[in-house]
Formats: sequence, structure tokens, C-alpha cells
Amino acid sequence: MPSVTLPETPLPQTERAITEFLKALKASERTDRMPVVREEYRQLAESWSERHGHAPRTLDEIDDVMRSSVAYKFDRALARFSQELMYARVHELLQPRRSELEAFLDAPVEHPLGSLRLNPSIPIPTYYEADYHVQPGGMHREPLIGFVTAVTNKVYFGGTNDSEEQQRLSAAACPDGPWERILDLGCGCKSAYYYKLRWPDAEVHGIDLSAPLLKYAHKRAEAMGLAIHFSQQNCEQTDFPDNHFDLISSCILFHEIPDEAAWNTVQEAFRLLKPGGWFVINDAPPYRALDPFGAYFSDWQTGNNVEPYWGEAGRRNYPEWFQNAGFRNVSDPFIRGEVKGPTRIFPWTTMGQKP
Amino acid sequence: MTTQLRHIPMAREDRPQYFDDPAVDRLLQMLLELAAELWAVKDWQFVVNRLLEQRGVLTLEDVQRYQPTEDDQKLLAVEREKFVHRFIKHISPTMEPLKYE
Repeated sequence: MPSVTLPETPLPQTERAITEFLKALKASERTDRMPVVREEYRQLAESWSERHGHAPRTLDEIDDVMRSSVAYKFDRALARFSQELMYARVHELLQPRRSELEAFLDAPVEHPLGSLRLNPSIPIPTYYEADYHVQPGGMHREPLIGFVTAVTNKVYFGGTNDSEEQQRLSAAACPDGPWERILDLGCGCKSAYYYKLRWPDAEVHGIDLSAPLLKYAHKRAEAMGLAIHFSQQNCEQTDFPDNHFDLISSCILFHEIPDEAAWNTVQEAFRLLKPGGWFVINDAPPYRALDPFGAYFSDWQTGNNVEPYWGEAGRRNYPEWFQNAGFRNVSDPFIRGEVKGPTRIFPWTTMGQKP
Repeated sequence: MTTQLRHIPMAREDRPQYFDDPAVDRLLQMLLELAAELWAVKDWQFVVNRLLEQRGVLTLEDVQRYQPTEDDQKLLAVEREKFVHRFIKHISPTMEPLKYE
């Protein structure tokens, strides 16, 4: 019986070495490459400013500068190509075990603590067909995506998410509770556990559009001894009744969906919450929280890492959306005065309470 | 900050070009492939050396003198073919992906 949390089983020697190499390469983005690219940008921006009479401000203007940066080209090309290489090697590793692993995911859990409710006829929105993060099969067309993610999580974040810090911090960012019933929107296979771990007495639900991710999440929750109820649903319109949850949260869901779906999801959360309940969005920081160069770097994801909605999400003003949807006591780091200058903050947390 | 009207890829095959000459993109992919393999070999050697030392069963000279058998050569040929393919596939995006056994 294969382990659910594949990364905890030793990878074969060569694959371990290659994933560690790619992880080191990813980490070098921050430690080695970024300072060099920034310095090259500074120098190029000086001559650009002389020609134009002002410093580059907009993303287009910064792009105009960066087009002449050889360091930037190498840095970004390496970022993209190492991502592709990572997926190619992980798929190569899993391919011989495909039927065994798929059968494992499809087999029901005996005496489960939680539950898994799939809906094979659920309409999959066109926007969800993206090959997110350059993953072959995107989020829902690769049956082994849970196993793929388990291996690539450590590489992808260059060592900053080895223990699922993003997911842990997203649960930690929520109001204290205690809560009777919690919903994790776009739960994938990493986040729901941390709500159950923080509030063990709560009834925790996780929804996602991807059946393969949910199957993996369910297996993993049961292996961890956590009672979590997973169901395959679209966050824009769920089958839960009105006024049903005390806390609704999401971890890195919102940048994966376009504006319209995001707005529908905010409204749906409002419908699902009990009066007094809280809605929390944890995601990447908005562009307004970054300096222009940081925003430009962040925006790279949109066109280069199959993050089609990253740019839209970066420009959203969630506090305004929350107010428009009817939430009160709305807060995010800007409103709380925690933003002291150009910085990178994850998770960027926006929260509001249903009156 | 302006909203750029631009092409946003949904599919992984729709890959941007990073250098003015696409040949540089492909060369860098080859280089990355080699670098990954080279590291894997260095890492493997480290592990093997450690085991050899710990068990005291082999000397470096034994390794130098070893001649691969016919079976060894068949196995090596399979691995070598995979390795060459990984490296060469970047010549053209239309090249078939690696065949899995």
C-alpha cells in the first residue's frame, strides 16, 4: 500500500538528488539572482529615466527597461524551465506506479472519520482548464495531482513551504473562535487539516472542483486521524444552506479564479455564513502592497507560469468587495496599519464579518 | 499601474520566448538538463562512496578496473538513451516526450 504522503517515503536516490537540485535552484532566485537582477534594473532604469525625464513607474515602463536586462532574461528563463523540468521528472517517477496509485485513491476508506462526496457531473468552468503552474493536466485532469503536489511543494516554494507554512499561517490568521462549523474554500489537498488542527471540536468542510485533489485530501485526512468532510463543489455556488458556517476561509484560492468567479465566491460566502460569522481570504499580496519593481516581478506569474488570473487578482481591492457584499468589520494589513513600506507579506489576509 | 492588454497563456505548451533568439532558450534548457543530471551523479557518487567506506568492501581502484558486463552494458544503454533524449528533446518543442517503460 503506497503512502499517502509520498514525500515522507524516501524518493529514489536520483529523483531525490534532482528535486533537491531544483529546490536549490529555486531558492537561488531569492538569494543569488534577485539582488543581481535588481542591481541591473537600477542601472538600466537610470539611463531610461534620463531619456524619459522620469523614473519608470508603470508595469509597461518597467518592462521596457527589463527588456534589455540579460540577467533578468536568464533568471526568468531558468524559473520557467526548471518548473517544466520538475514536472517532467515527477511524472516520470510516478508513471510506472500510475495504476497502483490511482487504485489506491479510488478505494474507499474503511470506517472513515470524515467523508468524501464527489459529483462526476459537476460542470467544470472554462477558466479551470488552465494548466496551472505549468502542471501537466492542470488541477483536475491529472488523477495523480495530489502525489505530484506532494513532491513539488518543497521544490516549488524553494524550501519556504516544506511544512505547509502557507496553509498553517492561513488558519492561524483567522479570528480566534471557537467555531462550530468551518468551510475551507478551494481546499485542494493541503489546507483543510490546519483548520481542524486549530479547532479540533469544529465540524470542518473542504470544497474543491478537482476530484483527484479531493480524493487525495480525503485519504490524507483519514491517515492523519482528522474528521474532515470533503465535497466536490464550485465555490461560486455551493449546495450548503444559508447561514450555515461560523468561519469560511480560503488559502491561495483567489488568485486562481477570474474576477467574476471571485466576486461570486465572496457573495456565496456571505450567504453561507451565520450572522456574526467571519470570511477570510488568504492569498498573495496585492500589487498596491509592493513597490513597482516588486509588482512587476509578481506580475511575471501571469504570463509565464500559467497563472492566468494572477494579474487580475493582484489589482483587486478585497476590502472594497467585502463592503459591497455586505461584510462589516473589514480589515486587511493596510487597514490594520501593518504595511510600513515595500514588503512581501504572505499570507495577505483580508477578513470581514457578516452582520 | 496600467493593465496591459496582452496574450495570457492557459496551456503549458503556449510557452513565452525569453531570449531574442529562440536558440538561446533551447540551449539553456539543454544546459539545465545537464546540470540536473550532473548534480544527480555527484550526489549518487557521494552516497556510493559513503557506503563503500562504511562497509570497507571496495577500493577506488576496484571501481577503476571494473569492466561492464554485457548485461551492464544493456542497462547502461537504456539509461544513456533516456539521458540523451532528455537533453536533445529541447532542439524542437515538437519532439516526442520521453517514452515511459
